[in-house]
Amino acid sequence: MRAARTSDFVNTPPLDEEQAQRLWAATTARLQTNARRRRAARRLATAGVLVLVIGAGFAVFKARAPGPTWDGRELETASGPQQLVLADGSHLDLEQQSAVRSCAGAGGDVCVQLDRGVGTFQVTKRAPGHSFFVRAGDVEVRVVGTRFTVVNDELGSEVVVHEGVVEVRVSNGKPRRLTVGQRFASQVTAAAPVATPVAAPPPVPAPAVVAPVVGQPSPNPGWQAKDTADELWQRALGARRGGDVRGQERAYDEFLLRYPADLRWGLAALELGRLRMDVLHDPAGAAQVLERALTNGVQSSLREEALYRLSRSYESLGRTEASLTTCQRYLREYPGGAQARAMSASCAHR
Amino acid sequence: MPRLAPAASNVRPLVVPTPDLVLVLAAQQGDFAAREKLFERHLPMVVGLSFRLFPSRADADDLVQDAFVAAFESLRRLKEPAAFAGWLRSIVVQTAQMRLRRRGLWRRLGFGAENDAGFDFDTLLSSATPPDVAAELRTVYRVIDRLPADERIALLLHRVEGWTLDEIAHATDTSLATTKRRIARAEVVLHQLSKGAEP
Repeated sequence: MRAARTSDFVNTPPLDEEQAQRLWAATTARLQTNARRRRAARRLATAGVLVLVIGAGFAVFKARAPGPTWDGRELETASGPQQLVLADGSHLDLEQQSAVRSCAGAGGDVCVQLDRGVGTFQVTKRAPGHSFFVRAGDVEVRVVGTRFTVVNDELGSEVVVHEGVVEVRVSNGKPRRLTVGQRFASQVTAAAPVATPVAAPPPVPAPAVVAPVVGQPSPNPGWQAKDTADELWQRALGARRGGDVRGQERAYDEFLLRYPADLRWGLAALELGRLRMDVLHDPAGAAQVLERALTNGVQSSLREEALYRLSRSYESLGRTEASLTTCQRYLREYPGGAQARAMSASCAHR
Repeated sequence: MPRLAPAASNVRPLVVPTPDLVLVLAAQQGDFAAREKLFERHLPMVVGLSFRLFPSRADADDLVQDAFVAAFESLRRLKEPAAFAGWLRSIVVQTAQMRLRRRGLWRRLGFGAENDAGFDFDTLLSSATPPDVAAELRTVYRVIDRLPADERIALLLHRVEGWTLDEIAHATDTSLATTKRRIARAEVVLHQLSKGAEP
């Protein structure tokens, strides 16, 4: 027999059958209530997770979904880009500080006027006889069913084709077909509908298409009609080796005038621009030839340097607005370019 | 056919109670009857311990329910089913600690939960209680309401239940050193009270 413990001397309440039943009933009732609460909490948590997943999915869908349908009224983007869906289902990605409106199109045609800025079009396939037009300045683009970008700024208008085929026409000129990767540029003219005509550069004649326009015979002395493209090129190289700067300039100038379809045309234009800018200290002459180079669509590998040097030339000439526009164009087209850092600083400085 | 009379009317059938091990294993598988059997078997122990920790019928009943609910809800986590009784005892102690802490918090927040000072010693103590034990119990139950929850539980388990320090440490899920410190602090208050000084 064990010794009595202190607890043995404390009376415990009587525990009869009824009392035990009451406690058991209360305990089981609480167990059931707790189980129901846990089930409800699990259902609530599941519902919460579902709501989060559905919300996230909806947010992703909304982020990817195109913008509202554009009714064709004049629209300007301010500090941010905007995505638009046109009535025919085509998509337009309008960059910041761009202005767009619908223009008159015949029958089932769709016509979009890009007054300013940059717009990338994804045009739905057209039914026969139903064209899609984009007008930017004096350039009109007829779409065959494609994706392309149109730029309209102080320097002129530009068209870059990403997919399919477009037809480009300047004023009432002959239409020209552009295919994937091809670029078209047109210099601004006095009549060009630029929305912010601030300190626009003086009008430059000869709106151009992809193929450079053949110019008139140069009045430069020393040019002879019998010189072939190779002879002129070699003459320029020889003048360079001999330190004849003026002779080099004349040879390139004549090459540019006489052989615009030559594959070396873009390189000649850039070399002449460098020469006038770095050696002859003639920023006006450099700007003139670089403008021509960009207008006539130099190869992409040369275009970057041409834009950079043109911006510098404008800066030397005190044409701040033109320099800034060119600088912005450079950064837009070559954000990771070799001169991107210098151009960013230059843009910011102005 | 005549009914056969029992061979010997004074022989009772031998009833071997089902061990806790079997009942717990069955209850862990969802056997409701096994759970009820465990409740019936351990209810007196739980009621007695609860009442000695909370000498009030209402508080003790609440503690009994809380303890059984906690035990049955965590029964699947019991790794040694044969040790159900000791495990249930620990649950009663820890549930009591939680209730006391909650009560202390309510009191500090100004919601004035009632204390245990109002119970009647004459009904609490058995008539067979030796005078020295009765004096000790009176002192202990007078002082517990002035102690923090953990010290109160440790003191009651040590002085009233007669548990060893190891058993208290295990039941309260604390170290032996912590248990010793708690009891020592409670004993100081107890000593001061028994000498007539206000702690």
